[in-house]
Amino acid sequence: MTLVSPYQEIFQSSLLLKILLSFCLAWSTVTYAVSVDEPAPFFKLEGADKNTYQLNDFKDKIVFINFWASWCTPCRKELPMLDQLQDKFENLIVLAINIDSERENANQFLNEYKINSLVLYDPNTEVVSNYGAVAMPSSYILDQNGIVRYKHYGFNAKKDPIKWSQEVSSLLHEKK
Amino acid sequence: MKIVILFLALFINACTTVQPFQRETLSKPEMQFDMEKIEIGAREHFLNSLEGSTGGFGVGGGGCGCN
Repeated sequence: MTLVSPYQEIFQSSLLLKILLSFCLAWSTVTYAVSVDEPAPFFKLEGADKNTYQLNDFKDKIVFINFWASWCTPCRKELPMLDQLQDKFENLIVLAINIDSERENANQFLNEYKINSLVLYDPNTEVVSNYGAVAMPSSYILDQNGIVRYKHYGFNAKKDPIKWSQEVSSLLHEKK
Repeated sequence: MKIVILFLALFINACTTVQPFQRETLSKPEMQFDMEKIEIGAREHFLNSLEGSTGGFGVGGGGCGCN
């Protein structure tokens, strides 16, 4: 008499194993992240001024997209510095995309700090997800053709503002 | 039935990857292990006085994944 495992029959079926493997691969958490030199994913979002903005509205400008949240401490430190960056360059627009699920939390911070950058709301985190941000804050610098040229994850108060300025001025000096 | 159990065992689990932009709830003060800072400080002081040992409280991480 031979002992037969109850699962032996199942695992002997190669077809079933293939199905199982394909399920495992499909369920693995592979996330997409936009790469440098790729066109920036399109978005259409409502702004703090109640107007709706889309990426195409900022054609021919250097676009600095920053994803921030009121619950993210480095984001709160970074935003005032982005304001300074915008003031420095005429052909630059900073889009501060807030991802708080409740707009009130963002507005509370904005009332306190008086941010001049254009604030947009992405409460369902659809846009930030499309960009594949791997940290908070995450920033993307787009050239005048809407191509992602630089990515920044996290915030370093000493190094990042210098880098941003260098990158933006290099893009401004490029020919379209 | 066996196949159903096998599939359930493989695919129904509590583990998932929380993306940095999904950590709003985790970043709330009530989600922190050391929410009551004064109480934690007192407990550490008692432990230090009674047992001559210190540390071993709290956890790292759980933030926004930055820096």
